[in-house]
Amino acid sequence: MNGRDHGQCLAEETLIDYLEGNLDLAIKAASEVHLIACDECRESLGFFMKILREEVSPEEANAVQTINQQWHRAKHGLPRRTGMFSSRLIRFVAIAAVLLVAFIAVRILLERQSQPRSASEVVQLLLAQHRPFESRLANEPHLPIVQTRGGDDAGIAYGLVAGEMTRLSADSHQMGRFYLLQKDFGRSIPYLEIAEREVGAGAAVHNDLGVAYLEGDGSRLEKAGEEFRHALNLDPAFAPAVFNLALFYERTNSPEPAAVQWKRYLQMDPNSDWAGEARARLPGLSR
Amino acid sequence: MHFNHGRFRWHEPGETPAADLLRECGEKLTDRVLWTKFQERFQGLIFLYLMRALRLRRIQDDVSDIVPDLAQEVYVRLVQHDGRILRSFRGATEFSVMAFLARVSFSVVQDHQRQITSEKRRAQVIPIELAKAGELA
Repeated sequence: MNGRDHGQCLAEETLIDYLEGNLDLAIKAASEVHLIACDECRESLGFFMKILREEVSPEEANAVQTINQQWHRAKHGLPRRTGMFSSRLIRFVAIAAVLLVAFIAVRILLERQSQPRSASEVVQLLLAQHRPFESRLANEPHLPIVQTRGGDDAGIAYGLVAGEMTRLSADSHQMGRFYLLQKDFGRSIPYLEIAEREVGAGAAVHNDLGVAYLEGDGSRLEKAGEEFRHALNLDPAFAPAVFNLALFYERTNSPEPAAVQWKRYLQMDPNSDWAGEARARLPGLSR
Repeated sequence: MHFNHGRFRWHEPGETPAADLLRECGEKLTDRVLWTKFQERFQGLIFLYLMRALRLRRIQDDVSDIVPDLAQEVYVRLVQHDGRILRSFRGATEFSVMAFLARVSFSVVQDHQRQITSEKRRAQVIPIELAKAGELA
């Protein structure tokens, strides 16, 4: 909006209503007076008219069909970081790198005895190769935390795997976990929130949503604690939620409840590698 | 998807009105059957609007590469925040559905354009040492 001598500019909604013929006569007349004077609004109106025109050229129809075929081949399951490269050379190098990484990822997947038959198996395969966070997702096998500088995607071609997730009709929980593995909280959290509202959402869903809140930008830290407690209400023996609840208390500067949760975890799971981490954390809390 | 060159046919007689389908999708974000219908009915339109917006904004001529990524972003926007955008839809006509999808698609293209612009701006930053070295040379 700009306030020039021809008054307030028209909102997008008003322009669309004008095109649709939904405006009151008085507002329509006022809009037309403004449109005569305002180049920007006329340009916007023309823009919407061009986008919304019903006529489709043969070239457009072909392009849409091509894009549709690409979509259905699920080659573009995951948005790439578009617009990142300014020169063709860098773009070429990036494509070569992606192909190389894709090749390695395919080799890794093929080296497994059998191909994953479900989206949850795909996520499990990824979890077996890479530990994204200190906190613990449901059914996550233990891996040591590797501190890396810069990106830590472990060389996994997520774009390629995203196609597989689409092909295997991943549900909201698995899509949420998939994006969470990539630390893409903007996509992961909406999926996990949908999964949480589904009938029969279990402790694993609440735990994973809690992990997303805990490891995200910190703005929903308190909700992380609620999700872990919710998971434990549903299943008091769900060990990952106890592990994560202890981490949550540590991060919210509550050493005493954190120590209580670590001890509770050690009672539930005294011999695993996860227990080793819990044991290592306890002395630091009692100081 | 149905095409005849010259006109884009996206609605068959006897089908659920487009506005009702859109509203139902907003209410049932996890209903796979409903969203399959949504995809069958509206995905072609979303591709078309993204393609037109990219071309009108002169962002790039070869759009087939980028449109699927942006279309996925359109879907994310429709369902995120508990489907807030979908549930805000108040239209009743087919044109209002087209306009709604065009607006969401256009907003995704605008953000994409902003991202490109900011990345270009960042790429143009020259370290002061290099600039000084250039002056001396």
